[in-house]
Amino acid sequence: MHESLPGAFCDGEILLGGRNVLELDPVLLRREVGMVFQRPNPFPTMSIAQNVAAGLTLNGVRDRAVVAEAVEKSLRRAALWDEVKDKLAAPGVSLSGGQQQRLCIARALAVQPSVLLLDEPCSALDPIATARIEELLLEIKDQLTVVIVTHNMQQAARVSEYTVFMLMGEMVEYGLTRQMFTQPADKRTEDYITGRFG
Amino acid sequence: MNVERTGDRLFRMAIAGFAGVILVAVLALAWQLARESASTWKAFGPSFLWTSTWDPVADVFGALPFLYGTVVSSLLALLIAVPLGVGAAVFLTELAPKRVADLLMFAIELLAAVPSVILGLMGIFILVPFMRALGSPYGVGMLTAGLILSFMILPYITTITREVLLTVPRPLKEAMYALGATRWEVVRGVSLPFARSGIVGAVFLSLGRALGETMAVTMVIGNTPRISASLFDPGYSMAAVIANELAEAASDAHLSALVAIGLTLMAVTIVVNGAARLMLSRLGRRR
Repeated sequence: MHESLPGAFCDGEILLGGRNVLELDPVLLRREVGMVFQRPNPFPTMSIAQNVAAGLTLNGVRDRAVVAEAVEKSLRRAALWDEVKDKLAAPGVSLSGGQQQRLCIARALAVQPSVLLLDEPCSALDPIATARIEELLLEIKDQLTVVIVTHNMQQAARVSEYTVFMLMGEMVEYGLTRQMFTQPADKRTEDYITGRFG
Repeated sequence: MNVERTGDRLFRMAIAGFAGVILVAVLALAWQLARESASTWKAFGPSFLWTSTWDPVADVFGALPFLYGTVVSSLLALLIAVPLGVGAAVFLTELAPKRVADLLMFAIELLAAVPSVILGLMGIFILVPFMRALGSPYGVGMLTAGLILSFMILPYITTITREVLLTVPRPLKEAMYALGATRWEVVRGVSLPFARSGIVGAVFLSLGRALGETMAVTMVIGNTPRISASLFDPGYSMAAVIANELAEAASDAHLSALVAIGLTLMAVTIVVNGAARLMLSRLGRRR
């Protein structure tokens, strides 16, 4: 994704199943790795069901029954099914912000990725919607790898097992969440956690 | 303080007056056209629009061949220019490196600035011999006019489509890419649906322009008031017949019939422009 942005760069390697992701075909890689963005971005021209099914349609799934089943399953996993099951044909943008974000999570889950990336998924949401998303992340983390970017340290402490602390594009520290928040190894991590900067 | 108030009021009245002039001009134009063509409407009634004899010597007038020529040549132009223009706009926004896009946009704006008489000349010197080589009996004709018109509206379709494609929010495209979509799938699944009503608006604006185009069409359409099944055959358009015959109209009835054609043409373009406005305002509301 970063390649399409002018001025972005990267360095080092990220291994997914033993392969460096930077050398994989981006289209195939993106089918393996789901992504949820900072702001909810459902497709405005599509209904709720179509939004969830978008990834499947791309992969050539045409069978209606299969699609309908996958839509229901993904919406259930995203804890949205009960709220939208009676209005699957309504436009995706008619939902509230928190619901839209869960819709986007359902959309990402529908293609059954092995990794789910979330870029500050709660920064545009209120605390109640945030709590629902966190709850949902804790539920799905048994089934796939969840990588979440957040500026909210309490959130990092609540939802994660391992934490990476990044500063100005540099990886400062990586470790068990509990350990990092109680006994940080790096001075900068300690300064950030204790609120000396940031 | 008081002086300013007076100035304000004067200013408001003045600009309201300027704006009013526009409205008055349009109404006066419509009224004048209706008045000058009244005798034609009285003589032939609405059947003026669907009879096809045009005989100034016998004072028998029917506008159908011209209506047909205008509509068919414009639709042909759309048929050619819409896929080309939309495709070019997609290329400009999604694929082309910035340098190439800038260069192409410059070329497209140049094309928009070419006077229609120049395009007509190009038609006569290049397109007509070419059509003849293709087997068209005269070279001039409906298809030749459609081709020239498509050159004229191509810049409009391309620039407006490009503008609306640029308004497609980046997060939406990213969402589609994140699902593993290819570039083509993003264009088809996100960008074009989002830009749809804007593109329709562009098409209607271009159609309005194609319907009224006079010079280039007059030069290549063949100027024969006949409805023919073959697109290679010469035809005529409403704007062309007015341009050709108004100066030498032999009788009052002939003059009145030409004005009636003008009124019809104006009505058609107003309807088309109204539809375009409706589409564009729908686009604006959604954003």
